[in-house]
Amino acid sequence: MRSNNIFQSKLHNKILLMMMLVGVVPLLASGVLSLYSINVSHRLNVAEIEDVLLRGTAEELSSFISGVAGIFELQVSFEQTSDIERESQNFILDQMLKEHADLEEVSFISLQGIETARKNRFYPVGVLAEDLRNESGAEKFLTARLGRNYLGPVHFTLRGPMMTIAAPVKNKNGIVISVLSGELNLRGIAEIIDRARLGNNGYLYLTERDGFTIAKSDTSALHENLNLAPLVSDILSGKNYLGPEGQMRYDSVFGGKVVGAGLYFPELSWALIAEWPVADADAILNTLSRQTVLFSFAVFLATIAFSVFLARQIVNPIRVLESGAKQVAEGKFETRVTIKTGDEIEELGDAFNEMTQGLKQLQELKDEFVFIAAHELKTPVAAIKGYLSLVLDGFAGPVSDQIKEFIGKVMNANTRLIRLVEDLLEVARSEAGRLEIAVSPTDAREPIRVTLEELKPLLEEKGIVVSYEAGDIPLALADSTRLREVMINLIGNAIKYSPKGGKIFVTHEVSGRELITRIKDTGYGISPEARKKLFGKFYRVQTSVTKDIPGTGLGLFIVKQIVEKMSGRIWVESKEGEGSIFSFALPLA
Amino acid sequence: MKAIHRNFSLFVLGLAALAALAVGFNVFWVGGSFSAGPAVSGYRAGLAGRGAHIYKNPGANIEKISMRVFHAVPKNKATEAIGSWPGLAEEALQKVSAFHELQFGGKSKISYEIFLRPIVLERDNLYYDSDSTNNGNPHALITVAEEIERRVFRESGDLFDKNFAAPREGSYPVMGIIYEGVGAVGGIIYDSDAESPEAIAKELNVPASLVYRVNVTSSDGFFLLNREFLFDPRYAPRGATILYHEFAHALGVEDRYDAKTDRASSDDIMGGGRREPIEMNYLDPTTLKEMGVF
Repeated sequence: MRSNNIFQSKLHNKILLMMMLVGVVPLLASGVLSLYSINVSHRLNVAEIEDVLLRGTAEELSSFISGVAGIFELQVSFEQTSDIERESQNFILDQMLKEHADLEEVSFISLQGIETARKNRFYPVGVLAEDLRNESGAEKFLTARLGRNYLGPVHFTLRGPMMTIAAPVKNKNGIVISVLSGELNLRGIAEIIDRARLGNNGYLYLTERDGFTIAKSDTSALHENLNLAPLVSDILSGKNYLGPEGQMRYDSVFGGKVVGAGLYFPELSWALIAEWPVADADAILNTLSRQTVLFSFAVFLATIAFSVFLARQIVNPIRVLESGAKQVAEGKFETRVTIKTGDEIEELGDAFNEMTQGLKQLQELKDEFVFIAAHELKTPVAAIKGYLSLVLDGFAGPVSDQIKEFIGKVMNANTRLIRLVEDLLEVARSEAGRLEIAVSPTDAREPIRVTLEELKPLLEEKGIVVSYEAGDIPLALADSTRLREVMINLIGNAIKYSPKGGKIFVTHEVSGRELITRIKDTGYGISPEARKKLFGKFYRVQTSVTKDIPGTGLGLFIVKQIVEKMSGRIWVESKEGEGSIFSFALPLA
Repeated sequence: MKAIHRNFSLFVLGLAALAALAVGFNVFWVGGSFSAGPAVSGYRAGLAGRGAHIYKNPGANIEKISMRVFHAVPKNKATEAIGSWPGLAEEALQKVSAFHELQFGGKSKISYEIFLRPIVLERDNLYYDSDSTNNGNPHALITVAEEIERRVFRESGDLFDKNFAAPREGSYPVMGIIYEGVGAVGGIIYDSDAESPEAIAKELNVPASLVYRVNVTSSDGFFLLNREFLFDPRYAPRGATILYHEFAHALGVEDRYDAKTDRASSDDIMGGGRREPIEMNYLDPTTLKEMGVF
């Protein structure tokens, strides 16, 4: 018996697996590819954002520094090689301090390296002459004295990071006549860094050549030594961390995992570094990845559900056809299948129905032919029987022993022929619905006793002993004549298919509302394969032992028809070499 | 039934594998890194192993500096002692502390204590002052410091204060003297078994002219500063600068200018910057490197 469990169908599972291969694998592949693409694209985007910010900020910083440095590039319009007059020097310094708030101090240095004028925010009127410095050994002086601009290292003061700038003062002919020096407060740089924004929580920071922070977006961590921090020392050695290849992910000294990139300023030996907390930088990536995974999973589940549905749609009609074919195999040619799929399978169902219709017509023609043939044969064989009896009885003259022997054989053959004709007529009647059954409360014991009496010669001939324990049994609803016919068939078979000296046991049992009669023999037994076909038409068990036993192969078929017509049922239990038990149940009266 | 179970198991396993694959992929790509960077612990560990120390002497740690400041007035100038000097000194000391912490990037910090009462010295200024102040009046520094040591830090001293004199464990102790007289000088006090300044100079590899004998055990460094540099309006913008300059000598830092020619090799607080307000000043990175800051 076939279960309804969907996963028990091989075809269903094959279709399901095929759908998974065809639908899910590409889906998974596309999901993986999507996630990969999103990741790569995001990586490129993050790198580009950081690069753009770094380059833009670097440009601003360079512009700021070069702008301030340009202020110091002073060229007088005269040709003298002597120093500028003190009064003019003081005026120029005043103007520089006034116009550039980021300048903390400015001074003129003579070509001998002695300051000639110096002004700062603390000494707006200028420092005392005794406080003018001898800068002859200072690098800023030595550099500018040679006609080159000087951008000094950053130093950290209480007023903020500062840088020394010095430039030569030249006359009309480009000859250096003195040096202009100043202290630039780098707060302007801090403002540039502070303006730079990277997502919600990203930041920039700038370190000078020794790795100390000059500025950071949130103004924290100033003058912190970051020389050993990730990227810093590498960048200060001249390496840039830009683009997807340069971008790094690491634990920042300021806390948390970040995506970092950096840029080196060769002119100042500074490092500009962008750090973007991974949680912020990858926020959109996480959202997209999550959505992609969820969507892919939803599509995956939908594909599975659709595959199951589709597999059912394909398998169910096939199952209907399978069931119909089995019924046809059982001879039920009136079977019809109903398949409404609107496709070739529905057409197959229609063709199946046409086929069964044709088979039914063929069966009816065959039944009619068999009935007519049998009916037409019945009279001649009866006549043959009668005339042979007359011959044997001597009505045609004396009969020698040899003729008696020959006629006896003809009689036997004619008897088998008569039996065959009767069986065929019985079958034909049954299939034509003309099997006449008249059930009434019947004592089953009487037909059995009559049958046993009738078969006594056969029993004695084979030395088979029958044990019948009738006991008290209730009346059953049965046709007494047909019941006798059933018993003749079943006990007759038991005799035929038992070896000499066998035993037959006939018993009754009341079970529920049924009277069960069992005929047990010690015969040859029946194989499981044979048992399945045992009640079919013209089927005979063909083994080396039974092949010579005469029979039409219609007896059990007729028995089954009769029992079922009496609202009963019949079945067999058997084991090869150990005998068989034929049982039939009839409803109690 | 085996085939059924196998198919169904394969189906479930496939489902689980696909789900696991999807989750694993997500984790890998969302949480994975493209390239690794150095760990932050390495950065911190790197800094931790490099404490600030006195100039060119990594063995003398100065992460904590305990500065005890006195106002010393020669006996003959007792009337010029400024009773409110702690308030006046406080402003400069705050700037000095802030400046120091900034320059050392927080790796060295100063905590200062002011001996509230001006100390009237036992003798007149002629006793303490030297004939020449070209070297900042080291004689005054030594004599005044020894007297303060004896009177404040020794139990027998008339100004002995148990709490004030107690050793400042774990700190580098510095004695600061605001002197009512000429001078601006500072230096490190070394313990030595050598018999003469010359021998000590040889031991320390410095000129013998810079080595003096001093009997002070409460401090490892000391400095002296003319009161006028700190309190006189003429020097006001750079008073804290001079104080720090001399204090830096107590950490072993050398001058960055030539005392004879006034030629500076640096514009930092030890060179040309000694005449600048402390707000604009700095310690040269080459100096800081010799003190373990880099």
